[in-house]
Amino acid sequence: MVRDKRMGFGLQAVLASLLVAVIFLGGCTTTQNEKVYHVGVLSGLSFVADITDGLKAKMTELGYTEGKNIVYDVQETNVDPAAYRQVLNKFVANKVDLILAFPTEVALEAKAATQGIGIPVVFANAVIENTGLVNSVREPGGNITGVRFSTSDLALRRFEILHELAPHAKQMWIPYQRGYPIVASQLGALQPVAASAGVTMIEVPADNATELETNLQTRVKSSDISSDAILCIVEPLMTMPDTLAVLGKFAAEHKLPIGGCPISNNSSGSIFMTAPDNVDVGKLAASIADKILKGTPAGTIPVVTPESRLRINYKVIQELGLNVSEGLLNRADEIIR
Amino acid sequence: MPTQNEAKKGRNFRSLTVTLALAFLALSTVVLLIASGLELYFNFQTQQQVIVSQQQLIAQDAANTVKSFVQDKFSMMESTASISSMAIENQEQQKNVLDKLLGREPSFRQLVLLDAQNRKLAEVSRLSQSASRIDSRLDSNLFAQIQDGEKYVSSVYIDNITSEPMMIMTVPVKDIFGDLKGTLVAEVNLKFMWDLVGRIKIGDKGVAYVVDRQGDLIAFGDISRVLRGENLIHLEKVNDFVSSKGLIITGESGTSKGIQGNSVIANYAPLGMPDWAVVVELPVEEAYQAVAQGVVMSALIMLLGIFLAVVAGIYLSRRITRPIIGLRDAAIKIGQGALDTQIEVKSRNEIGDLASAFRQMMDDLKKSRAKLEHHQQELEKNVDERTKELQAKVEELQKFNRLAVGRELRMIELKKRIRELESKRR
Repeated sequence: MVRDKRMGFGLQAVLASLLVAVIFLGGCTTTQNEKVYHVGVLSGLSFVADITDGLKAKMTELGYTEGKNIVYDVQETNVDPAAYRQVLNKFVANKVDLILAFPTEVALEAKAATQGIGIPVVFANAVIENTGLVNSVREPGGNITGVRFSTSDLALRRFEILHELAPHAKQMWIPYQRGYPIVASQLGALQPVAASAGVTMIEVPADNATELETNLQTRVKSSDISSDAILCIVEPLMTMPDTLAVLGKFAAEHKLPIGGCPISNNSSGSIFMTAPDNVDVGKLAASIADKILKGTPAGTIPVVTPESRLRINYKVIQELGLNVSEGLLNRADEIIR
Repeated sequence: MPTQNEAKKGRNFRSLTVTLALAFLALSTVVLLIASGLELYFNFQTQQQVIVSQQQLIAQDAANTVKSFVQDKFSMMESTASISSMAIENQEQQKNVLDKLLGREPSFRQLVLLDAQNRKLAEVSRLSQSASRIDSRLDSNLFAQIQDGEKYVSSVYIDNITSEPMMIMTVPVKDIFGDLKGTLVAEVNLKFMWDLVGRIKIGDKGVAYVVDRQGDLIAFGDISRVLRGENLIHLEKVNDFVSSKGLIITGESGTSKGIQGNSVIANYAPLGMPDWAVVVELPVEEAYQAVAQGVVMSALIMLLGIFLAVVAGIYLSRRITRPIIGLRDAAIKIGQGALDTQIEVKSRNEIGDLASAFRQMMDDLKKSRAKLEHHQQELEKNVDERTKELQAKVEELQKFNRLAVGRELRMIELKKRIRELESKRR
């Protein structure tokens, strides 16, 4: 019998085409290499270093796994401008995908270091008023955005609470880091409010704990401090453990109320503290960082304002024999007894 | 004689097997396409109805969630106003009560107690007193709105310092006789609603957001867009809400552009009080995932059907054409003189009849050929006999001819001798 070869080839071609189509439709898969993001974190102040913890925790929630699709280069310094620049230059040389910088002066250095390079910067705990850090809250501009720190309002709030807790205080000592840029605006905001409350503000600038101790002792010798109080504004000196220890010892000796200083280690004897929680700030920064890593230009992401938390050290308040209103206690996020 | 292939080429040959297979394939494919198309169409219609119903439920559920945020604030304010007899307490007690309320609810940024003449009795704030910005909101417009002693929610405004959306809520403070004694005013930070809205789950990649009557975005998972003060009136569903008057929930869920610029199935549910709407969006690809899966399944089934149709077509066409090809091949061999060729066709159908007829024709042809050969032999025999007879006669004629020619030559010789003798004599 004669076989029709032409017919055979035609059918083979049809079958082969069908087989290819089935394989294509059924087994078509694509693989995509996941990008690994490199984030440089520069903490310029030990007191707020736990912002990094908040950042990492939230980034994990957002799907970034450290070592897998994100790598952090965390550098911690403590009020050391030379170190800031060195670390930032390293970040720029390493071409990191994003820089998280805090607080204000570090953010300003980061902004300068990345000018024209395109590396986005997220700041945290940074003052944006009169610092030139951003154009506006809604449109920060450039390659920078982040979580702001409302210093003047915070300083005023601390003053009001201290005044409420220690209404007898007619003089308030305000220790601060000499020459720190964001101090002047806070003092300027406090001046009229204190004056209207009948309170005299006494500035105590210092460069370190030793100088602070000397200044405090000099003041003890020169005047009666029995009706005074100490107010911590937003600046780095009153976040250092050694200066807090000096201040705490001094206040305890002279039974002076201290308001607005960190009370995490309780060495300062501060009767209250109101400020944004560092971990919360880190989480807010992470949400912004996530958007940037997903392609949103940093300068178009509005600056975020964190909520402040009020911690009241009821134990020290009682030791000092001060009265605290039920209303203030009700407003507190945490009461230390 | 031309070969089989040359003959095929010469008359533009088209295999019957291929033709039959293709015809079967084409028919099967058309049937499959029609069946799958109809199934897909009805599946799509059903799925669309399901999506519309789901979207409405989700939108209403999300609206209830957001509404409960506002209602919770009202409840707290009303409880505070009624339980603590705020209208008759002294200022310090009133402040304590407001402090308690402020401490209980983080979204309250500032609280103010006004008397019946809208004079400030007490005020508490999370901001410093000098930074308090609620006074600018306590104007005649607000007082006109709250004069009738009803609950009131202002339009949303953006805080100048933080760029966060805020609103004013008020509840009347009444005494035991129900007489209006004052108003409790709260400035509410709506960013506390963001988490609530961000947590609303709309499928896998769907989103929910809240807009006010002007189409301004007031709550969304991406807070940067809220902080930017975006107006979303260009989105179809937001525009529908802004254009509508009442609490109508749309029954349509057509494809439209979503807040993230993708194609979505969207719907919205108005809250009523406050005058906002929750818009829910589900990406089209997710909404129609079941339909897409149905399409893929149908395509796979269709491919399988086509494959089977090809196999069946090949089998059937071969089954049909094999005896025909056998007959064709036999015919070619017979044409070449091989009358003993076997026709191996045993079909019990028309083709079988054809094969039988072919066999009969071959038998007749063999008989005819045998008869023809017999006649040929007879003819050759007759021709031989006739040829022999003719040859004998030819030989006879030749003999006679030879005799006649010899006599004639003798006469010519004698005449020639006579003429020689006569010439000598002269």
